[in-house]
Amino acid sequence: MMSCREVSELVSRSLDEKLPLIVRLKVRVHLLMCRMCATFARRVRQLREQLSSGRIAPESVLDASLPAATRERLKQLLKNRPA
Amino acid sequence: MGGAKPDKEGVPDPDVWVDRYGDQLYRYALIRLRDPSLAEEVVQDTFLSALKAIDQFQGRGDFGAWLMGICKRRVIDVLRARSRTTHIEADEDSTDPAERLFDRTGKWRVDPGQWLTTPDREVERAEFWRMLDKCLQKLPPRHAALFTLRELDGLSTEELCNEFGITRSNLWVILHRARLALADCLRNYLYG
Repeated sequence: MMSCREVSELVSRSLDEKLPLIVRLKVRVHLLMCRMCATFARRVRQLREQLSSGRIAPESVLDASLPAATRERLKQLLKNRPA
Repeated sequence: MGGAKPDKEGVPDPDVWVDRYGDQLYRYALIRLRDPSLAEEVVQDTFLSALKAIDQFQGRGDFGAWLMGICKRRVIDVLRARSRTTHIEADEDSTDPAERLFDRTGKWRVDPGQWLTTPDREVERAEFWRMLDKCLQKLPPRHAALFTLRELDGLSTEELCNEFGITRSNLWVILHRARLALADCLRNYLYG
């Protein structure tokens, strides 16, 4: 019987590669019986979906912008570009 | 921007690049590098590389996306260089979050699921990112970088192993620790 600690590792690994069939089955059985692991699995998968789908797009949240001095310096740099 | 010339073959006049793309590139770099001056350098490098390689663009596709591609490449270069120079031992020695989250028999000590991951409204998504960002800042920098490139930028495990010169099993350990630590951190933010 696999421990929750081992199952959490396998759940994580399943996000990065396909696990062998027998391992997948063992993990699935554990997840059916263990609410905590099932929730962890759901959460990390949701996090992946949210981040990769661009639903949580940090660029649109962050209100940082190029500092004014850098902005001017870059503009000058591009203006004085070699023809 | 009265003096700027119209776009030529899909390439905007370099005089408008900073106003049109500067902030977007800066934010992209800042989120991944967490260092304002490095992010500024990356933006500068991106513009200069784009000037040099402008012939390669040849009006294909979206110029902004092309610039972003250059920027992404630069960000990975910086992260890779940084991971070579930082002490990897410090990274590896960082406490394994599993020690905190599981008891000696390997059972969960705390409910790992008590955190919101389906923020639906714009304002919730923004709030969620701010929380996640704070949690990412608590990770060892290399772990945060690898997690971000994997989850946010969708780099494959092969690409990450090649770029960072690490083995697959090493990468899995890092990504798993990052996921566990983030789960724990997000839970703490919401439920203290």
